[in-house]
Amino acid sequence: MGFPAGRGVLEGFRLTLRHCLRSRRTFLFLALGAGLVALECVALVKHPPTESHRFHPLLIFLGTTVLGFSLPLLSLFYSLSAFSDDREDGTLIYLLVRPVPRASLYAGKLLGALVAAGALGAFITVGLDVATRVVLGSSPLLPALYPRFLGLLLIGTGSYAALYAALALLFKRPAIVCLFHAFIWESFLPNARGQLPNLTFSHNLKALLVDWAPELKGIVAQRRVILPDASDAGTFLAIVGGAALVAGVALFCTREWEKRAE
Amino acid sequence: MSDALLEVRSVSKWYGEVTALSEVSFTLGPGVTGLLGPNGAGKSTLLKLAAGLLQPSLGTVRLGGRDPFGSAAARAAIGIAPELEGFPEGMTGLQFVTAMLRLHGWRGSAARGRARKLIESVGLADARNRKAEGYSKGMRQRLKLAQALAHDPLFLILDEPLNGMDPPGRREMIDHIRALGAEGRTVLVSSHVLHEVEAMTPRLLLLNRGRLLAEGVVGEIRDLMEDRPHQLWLRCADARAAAARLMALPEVEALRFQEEGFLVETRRPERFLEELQARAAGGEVAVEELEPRDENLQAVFDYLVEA
Repeated sequence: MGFPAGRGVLEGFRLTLRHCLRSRRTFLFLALGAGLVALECVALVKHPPTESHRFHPLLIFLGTTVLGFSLPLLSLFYSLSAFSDDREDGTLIYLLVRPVPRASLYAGKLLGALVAAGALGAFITVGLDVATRVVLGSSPLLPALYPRFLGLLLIGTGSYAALYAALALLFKRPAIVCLFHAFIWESFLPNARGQLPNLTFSHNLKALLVDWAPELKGIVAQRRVILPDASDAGTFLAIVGGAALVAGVALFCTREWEKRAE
Repeated sequence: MSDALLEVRSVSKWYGEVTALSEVSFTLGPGVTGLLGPNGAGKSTLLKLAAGLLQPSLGTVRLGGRDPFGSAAARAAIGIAPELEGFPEGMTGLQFVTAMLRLHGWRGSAARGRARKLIESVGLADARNRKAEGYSKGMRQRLKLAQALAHDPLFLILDEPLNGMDPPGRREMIDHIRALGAEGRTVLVSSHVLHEVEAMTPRLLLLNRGRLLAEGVVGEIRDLMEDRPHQLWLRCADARAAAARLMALPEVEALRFQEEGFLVETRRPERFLEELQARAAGGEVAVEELEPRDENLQAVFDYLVEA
C-alpha cells in the first residue's frame, strides 16, 4: 500500500504536473519559446557574430531571455497554478481529506510546478541552441556546458518556485506580489549600486553560471557587472530558497484552505 | 451514544468577527443523520470541521478519538462528497476516482479496477471515460459519491447530495444513502430540503445561526417542545357538536375550524387521545379522520427557527 508520505508526494506531483502541462498557459509558453527562437534566428541572420564580438548572441539570449525572463515567468505561473488554482475552484478539498501528510502534498505540488517550469525552460534553451546550430552551423553551448546550464536552470527554477509557492499561500492576491518580484525586483535591482544586486536570484544565478562556465566571463567583463563569489551566491540561493520552502510547508500544513461558504 | 465515531465538544468557529458556530456539542454513531438548517446556519462549517478541513476556534472535534485536522490516520475513515461542483481539470470520471484511490494506497490495476466498479455502482459506467467537467449536475453528484465511497470509509459526509438531481435520481440516491447507513456507516447528510432528509432518516441535527437547536428523532424533538401545544386535526360527522364536546375537555387549550374539520391544540396529546377514544366509543363523537399537524419535520423546524 506504500507509505502515506510517498503517496502524497507522488499523487500531488502527478496531479499538479498534469494540471500545469494541460493548462492553456503551457501552449502560450510554448508559443513564447518558439517566438524567442524565431527572434534569435532573425538576430543571427541579420547580425551574424564576427571576430569583433566579445561574446556570442546565443549566450546573451540564454542570460537575458532564459535566466532573466523565462525562468521567473515560468516559475511564477506554474507555482501559482499549483497552489492557487485548486484553492480557487475548491478542488483542493479532495486532496486535503486524504490520509497523507499535508507536507507530502506540498512537496508533490511544488515538484510538479518545478518540473513543468524546468521542462519548458529546458525546451527554450535547447530550441535556442538548435536554432544557432541550424543558422550558423555551430554553437558555443558545447556538450560539456549543457549539463551545467541545465543544472543551473533547475536551481533557478527551484529557488523561484519555492518563493512563489510560499507567496501564493501567504497572500490573497499572490499574482501581484509575484509579478512585482519577478519583473520589478529581479529586473531593476541587479542594476542598482552596492550590495543590492546580491539580493536578487538572477544576479546570484549569473554568478553561478560564470563560475560553472568560465567561457562566459567575457560577458561580465564587457558589462562591468560585479558578481558575488559562487559560494556566496550558492549560499544565498540555498538560504532564501530553503526558507521559502520551510515557510510554504508550514503555511500549507497549519492553515485552513477552505473558503468560507456561509 | 456509546459507539460514537464523531464527537464534537463545545465547538465554536468564527471568521474574524463573524461567528459561524457557537458552542456546538453532539456525538454521531452508525446510521444516517440529517443536518438541517437555513442558509447561513453553519452547516458547511460544521461539515468541514468534521472532515478535518477546518480547525475549531474553541472546543474539540474527534473522529475515532483523533483530531481529523491533524491526523492523517483519522482522515482515512472519512469519505466526503462536498457541495462544490468542480473536479480537477481535464480528468475523466475514471481517472479522478483512480487518483483518489491511489492517495489511499491503492495501486495500478487494482485502483483502476475498483474505480471502475464504483463508477458502475453509481450508474456512470457509460460516462466513465468522459471528462468530469462535462458531466451534468446529477452525474457530478454520482461521481462525488463514488469518490467518497472509494476507500470504503466508516464516516461519510454528504453535503447537499441531491442538488441538481432529477426525481428518479433523487429516489435512487436516497435509497443508496439509507443503505449506507444500514450497512453500519456513520453518515452525516446536509440538506435544506426537509422532506428529502425526512425520507433518508428521522435522526436530525438542527442548526440555526450557528447554534445547535435540537438533536434527535423528529418525534422526540417535538415532544420536548413543551411551550408549543400539539396540533391535531379532526374530521367528524357532526363537526360543531363534536367540537363543543371536545372543547369542554381540560386538555384542550384551543380549537378552531379548518378545512372541513377542526384543529385542536393540546399540551397533553396522549391524555387527549384517551379522552377522544372514550368519547368515540361512547358514541359522543364520530371521528372520521385524525391527523397530527405539527409532528412532521417542517413544523418542528419552523418552531425551532422561529424561537
